Amino acid sequence: GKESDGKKVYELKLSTVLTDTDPISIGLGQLAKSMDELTGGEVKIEVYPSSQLGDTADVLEQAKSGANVGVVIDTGMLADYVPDMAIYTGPYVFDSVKNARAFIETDLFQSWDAQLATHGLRDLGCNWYQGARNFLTSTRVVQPSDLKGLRVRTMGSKVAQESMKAMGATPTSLAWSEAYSGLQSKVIDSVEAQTTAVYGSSLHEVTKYLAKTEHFLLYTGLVISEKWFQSLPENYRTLLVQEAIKAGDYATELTLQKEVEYNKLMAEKGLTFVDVDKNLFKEASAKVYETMGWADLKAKIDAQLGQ
Amino acid sequence: MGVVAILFVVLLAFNVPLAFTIGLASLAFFFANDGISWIIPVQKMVASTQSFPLLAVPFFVLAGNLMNETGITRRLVKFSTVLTGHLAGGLALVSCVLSTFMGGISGSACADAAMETRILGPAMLDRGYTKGYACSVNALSSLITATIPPGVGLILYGVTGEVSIGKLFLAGVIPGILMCAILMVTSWGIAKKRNYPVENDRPPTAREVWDAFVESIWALMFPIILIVGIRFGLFTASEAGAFAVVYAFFVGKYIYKEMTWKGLWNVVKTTLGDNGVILFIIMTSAILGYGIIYDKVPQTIAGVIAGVSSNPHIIMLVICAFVFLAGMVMEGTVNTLLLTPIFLPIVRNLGVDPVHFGIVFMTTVTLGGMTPPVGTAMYSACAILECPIDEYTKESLPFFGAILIEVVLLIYLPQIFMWLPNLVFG
Amino acid sequence: MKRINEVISKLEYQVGTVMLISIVVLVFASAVLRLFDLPIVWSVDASQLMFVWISMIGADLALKKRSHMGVDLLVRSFPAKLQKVIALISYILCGAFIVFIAYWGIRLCILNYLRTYQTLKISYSFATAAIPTIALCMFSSLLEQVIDLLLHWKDTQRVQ
Ligand code: NA
Ligand code: NA
Repeated sequence: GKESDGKKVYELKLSTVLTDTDPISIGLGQLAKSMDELTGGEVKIEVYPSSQLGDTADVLEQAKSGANVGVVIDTGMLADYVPDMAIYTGPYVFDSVKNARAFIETDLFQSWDAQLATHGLRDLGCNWYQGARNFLTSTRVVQPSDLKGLRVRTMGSKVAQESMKAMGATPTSLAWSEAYSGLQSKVIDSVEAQTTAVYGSSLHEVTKYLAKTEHFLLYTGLVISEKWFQSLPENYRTLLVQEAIKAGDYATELTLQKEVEYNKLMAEKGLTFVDVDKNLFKEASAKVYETMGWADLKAKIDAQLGQ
Repeated sequence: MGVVAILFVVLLAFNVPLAFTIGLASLAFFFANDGISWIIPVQKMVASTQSFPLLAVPFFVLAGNLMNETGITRRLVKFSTVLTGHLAGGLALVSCVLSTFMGGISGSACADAAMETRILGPAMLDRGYTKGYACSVNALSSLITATIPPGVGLILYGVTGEVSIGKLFLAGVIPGILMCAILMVTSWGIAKKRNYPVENDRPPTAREVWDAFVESIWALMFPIILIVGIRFGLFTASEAGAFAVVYAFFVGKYIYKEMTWKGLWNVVKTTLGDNGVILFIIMTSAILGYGIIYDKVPQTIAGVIAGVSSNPHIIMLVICAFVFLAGMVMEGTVNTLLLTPIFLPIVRNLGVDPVHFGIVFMTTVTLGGMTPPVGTAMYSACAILECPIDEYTKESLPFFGAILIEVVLLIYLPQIFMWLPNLVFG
Repeated sequence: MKRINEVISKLEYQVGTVMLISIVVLVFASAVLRLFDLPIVWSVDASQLMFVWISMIGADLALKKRSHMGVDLLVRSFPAKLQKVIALISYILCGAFIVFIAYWGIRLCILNYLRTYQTLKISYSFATAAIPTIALCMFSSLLEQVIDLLLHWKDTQRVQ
């Protein structure tokens, strides 16, 4: 902390790859505001959207080295430190946004947080929802067999690739920045992504259908430096954890609203939304948990959440 | 950041290599801010290279070097000479046309500048063009490549600012062609004044054109094959560079049969060095970029700019002037990521179409790569021909004047290019 | 010193060549194989991993050939003696920068060996390691140039 006007000021810089109008950034702004008010300006949080401090893994590295930074991170990326957390990237790992929220209160999740702390990272709650990923296609997709032969741009991770295969698609990798031109020139047939990203990259201009499979729920967490966290007085630590959870819930609420709003806008511009039987896709992709060796863990999660 | 700026100027004046100047000056920022992590400079250097589109730089530098080694360049120059040899500054005009042609393939101004300087530069010097003129033409005309779709810069702007990339692409077509015309007139005017040699005293006959065309058919098909490849989805714009390399190798080895394995080894060696010079600057610039963001310098400036006027045209001019200055020391990708979220809301509030602003903004951002003292396209061109920066600076002024005219036209008369995206997307 | 640098340089050319050609082949092959629905998912990560290495190697090779450009507008007008003093200071500063990135590069490699490339399942430290490794080579290159400068200190015709 720094001394100013005779009182100690604790500065924290929070980073996200998302733009400043994204619900996540707005949620971070909300956290900054409430901490400023509740601590009389002693905990000063600044938000850096659009990867200004670096990409996610870079800022995480900075936090680990003890810098006064934090980052909104895909929960699966924390698997480098807590291998079990990779399960967050599995298909249909949670039945609903509500269940995902409930999961962070479980003992299992708390034990992961404790492991993160040993790596110099403090998790302030993995309740920052960024939306569900759906398939954007040029043909109507209602069941897994309709994905057959489609080259789908997905994430590079093994679980994403395996999930695509399990649902019948052919996974392919392409930089996100090339998704638009890739769809346009037919390098790829489909992209799977969340609504905010689809709308942000104008992908609705170059595709016809959106199959509402919601196969991956994008749950991100706010992770800051453990060293900085421990430098706070105890009452501020408690306050920060509590306010961060609130801000994450608020951002989740905004994301859900934005999804509805963007879907409406894209529908107006000619994108057709296809309602699918999610259970068919869920069954088709379930074998991924065997392939990845996560079957036991998945069973444990299901048991804890009663899903 | 004041200390950083002073140190930067001093080190530069004392001939410390540019990449080191940027790196050293940026370190001052880390000394001045305690509590900041010392791992960041190295982390930023690595991170700046972890970009797939940036691979276009070594790819196109390698393709250009290969074309020299395999006889493709020689034939291309011959054909161009037949076509424009009777005009003053024929090769400079070729550079402009080639950049327009390349625009449909390459999204990177820097790679385009590097390749064309590699291909056309030595021939330009042989014909008595000054180094400064040759570098200016090749560097500045690469701006056309970035404007004509596809362009990495426009994609980046579209994603950052949530603006339709399809509209941006279509909006770039006419400004790109306009830029080609303006730069051709400028190049020709200077060449005429300086009496750069006219190689043919008469325009070519149809027969001469046909013969030269047939001889260089493989070279001329090169961009067409790439365009077709991208349009038909065989590969993406970033992968096109790798195809260019394979194609140049194939033609040189199996069609022209001019390339030896020893030749290939030399080409790769040259490419490693060329790429290293460019990338090392990009790497140290990333450290500087961090300091600038950390201190929220852009936000401070945005606040000032928003207070200048409420006339959208004036604000756009002021923003362009600022982006031009920022471009003198910062890399284009960094500027796009940094400045788009700051400036776009300002102009949006004033009722400017984000697509219109995008074309103006990205033209200026990309131009930053051509402005001294730090500019990747400029640097690629000057490094290849060993042209001193001050000579380049002096000789590039008329070209900057030409681009200024273009930018003013784009700001005040958006109807000349906006009708195309509006026609298609309504 | 000269002998050491020759060995380093040869090694750098060999590694750099293999990597540059590998990147081209990898990116080309992954685009071609994608047409046959056989994507190489790790091609992007592998290319980027090698990219940092060829860029650093290239930076050292350029340093050896003195092709990193600066602005010599002002210095050019100074007397030869002064130019040499400035060149020496410039070398020391560049050396300091190199030592800095070498030291912190090593620290960063150790700090975060757990960070992995998503598709490669290998540590990101393999990319970070390019900075300290090549920085040491660069230091050796600089040293040779400083020795060369000092040996020809009296020779006013030779100015870099
Ligand atoms: Na050109
Ligand atoms: Na282009």
